[in-house]
Amino acid sequence: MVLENLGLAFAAVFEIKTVLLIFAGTFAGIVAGAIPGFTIAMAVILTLPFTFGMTPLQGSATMMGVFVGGYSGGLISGTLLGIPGTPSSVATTFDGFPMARQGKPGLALGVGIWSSFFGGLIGAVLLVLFAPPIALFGLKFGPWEFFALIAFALTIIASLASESMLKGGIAGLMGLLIATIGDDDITAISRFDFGIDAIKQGFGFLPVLIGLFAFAQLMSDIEGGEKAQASLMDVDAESVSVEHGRAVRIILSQPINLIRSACIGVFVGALPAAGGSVSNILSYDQAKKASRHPEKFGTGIPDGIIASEAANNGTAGGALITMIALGIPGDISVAVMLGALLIHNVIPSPTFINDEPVLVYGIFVAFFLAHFVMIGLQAVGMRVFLKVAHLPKYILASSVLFFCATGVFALHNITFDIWTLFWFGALGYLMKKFGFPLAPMILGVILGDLAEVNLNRAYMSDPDPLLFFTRPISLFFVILALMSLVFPFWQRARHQPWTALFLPVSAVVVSIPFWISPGVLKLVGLAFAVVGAFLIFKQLRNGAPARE
Amino acid sequence: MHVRADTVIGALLVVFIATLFAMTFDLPPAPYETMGPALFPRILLVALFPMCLALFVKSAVRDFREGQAKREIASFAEWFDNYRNVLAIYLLFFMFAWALPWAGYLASGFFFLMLAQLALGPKGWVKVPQFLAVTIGILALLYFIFRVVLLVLLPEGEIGLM
Repeated sequence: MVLENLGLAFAAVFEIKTVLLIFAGTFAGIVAGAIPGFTIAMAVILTLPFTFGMTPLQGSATMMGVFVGGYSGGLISGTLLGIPGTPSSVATTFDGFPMARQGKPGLALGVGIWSSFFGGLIGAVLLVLFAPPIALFGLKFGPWEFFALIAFALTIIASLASESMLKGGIAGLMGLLIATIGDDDITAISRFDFGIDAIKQGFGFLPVLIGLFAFAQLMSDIEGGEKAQASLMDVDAESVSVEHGRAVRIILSQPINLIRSACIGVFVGALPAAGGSVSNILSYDQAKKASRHPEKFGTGIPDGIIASEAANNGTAGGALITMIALGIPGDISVAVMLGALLIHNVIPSPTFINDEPVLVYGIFVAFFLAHFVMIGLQAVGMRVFLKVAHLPKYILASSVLFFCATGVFALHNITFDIWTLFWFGALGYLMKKFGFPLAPMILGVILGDLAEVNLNRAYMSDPDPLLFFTRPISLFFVILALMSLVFPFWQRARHQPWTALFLPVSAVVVSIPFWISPGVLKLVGLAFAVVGAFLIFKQLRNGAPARE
Repeated sequence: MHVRADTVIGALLVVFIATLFAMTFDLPPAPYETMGPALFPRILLVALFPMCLALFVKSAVRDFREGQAKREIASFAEWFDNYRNVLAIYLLFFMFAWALPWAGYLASGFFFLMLAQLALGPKGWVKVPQFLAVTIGILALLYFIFRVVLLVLLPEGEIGLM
């Protein structure tokens, strides 16, 4: 069945037009990723309007190209300038930049590009293997489970907001509130429209996303008087020549580092969490801990570049698992990706794989193919990417902004969308200035409708709110949401004695949903409870010492 | 006493949330067996209120504790120099959105792109031909993609400039 679907999908994707679109998408993704400050989400946003007239498969395939290109493009500026193009390439700079400064920029780029490639392929294989069973598991979800899962996704994004968890929480809830503006999906009654007709339809989420994210980012880039006249990246493109053969040999000599890093990336990506921005750091840290020469990390060794780049491209595969199987995005770039798919009437959910097998497997194939395209483009087009990133900020900012306005207008052919872009651009910029993270708000805007519809369905099925706590899967996500809320406090109070009990107590609490589940899952609950109880006993016997 | 931005934002958010909460009582009751249009926003607003209040109180307490402690505040000239580009672009974008329905896509787009580059780019007339070339190039490219390829009906405007 899987092979048959894959065969049909291969035939659909390997049409000349679709392949060319994957090329174009990957090219756009690499260029956007290579420009510092232009994140993958921005790359997806900017490419989306071009795909409006395409079929769902062509549009999704193009987006996959952008997605893969964006993940690998971020390493270019990170390696050559020490400024990561995207947050998912932060750890790449730790060793990539020192290696480039040692006179080996071609090798540093080669190791990064090929690690991205291998990491992405591992992610693609795991995507094909794991998405269908997870979707099958998702079929057991009722509205209670979906609502609890969305709550978990939002709490974890808010709790990972580096600036302030309080501000992250406010931003996330505000995002959900923005999604309630306009007609209610169930009753068609308009809310918070202030008597303005255009608002009664609600804000289109694309203008809101572009405003909050792209507009605000562009404004941040041009701050500071004469700085707008500088280019975002200043590297002599002619001096860079990628060493492919040597890079591949180095990577293949470290298979454990490569596979471990890609798996960490897939795992982190599959969680409704922080995606590539977390996985590259986590993977780098694990590679350093497992290394025989950890002291060399940060001095320009390939091990660190492999760990970071294999992880961030692996994350893309992991994030697609949860998004396609459950319809829940993890980080901001996947949230935007989900929005892009929705525009093409591609609505990921647990039934999606069964309902549209050719389309889903087509997305998988496009994701897989995009990695080969990425390698090809990086091999021949590195100098072009560097030259695009060399453009002065004032040209980039004005043209990208004008392009954003054209793109949002093209969506519904109404100027109100351009006003939406303007107001949310101002809001996003002010939020950035005052330390409110944008990711929770964007996730809130995208998940708002889904959250309300599922809460409504749950209410219509049975208005008893206790069902959120008595259904095992729902309770599991509620517990995870509560744990993610406590997590930042635990991190901050690392030297307090009570923090030593956090994980054991969490293990015991997590066992509860397994206890109330039918069948063999009770044994899993028993295992969690026993391990948790043992650790609590051990900590109490030792006087709950402060953690190191 | 110097008041932090968070104190002002927290206070404004508290008032805003309370206003929206009051507005939910103007919404019609739930039809049939649904939870109605007001319940979900109310849940969000009830969760938001203590958080915004906490932001306000936390920041106000810090303001009060620091009292008259001297803090460096940028002069208006410094502030303006830092934000003039941002203000210029917001103003130009506002004018673009306002002019679009009556001046049309090409005319309003031309002025936006030219003026944005003049505001942000190097001063002097030397670069004007470059600005002009970039403007015409971008306009032509986007017009071709959206109007010719994607068949989007871009605003033609009322004064016939397109």
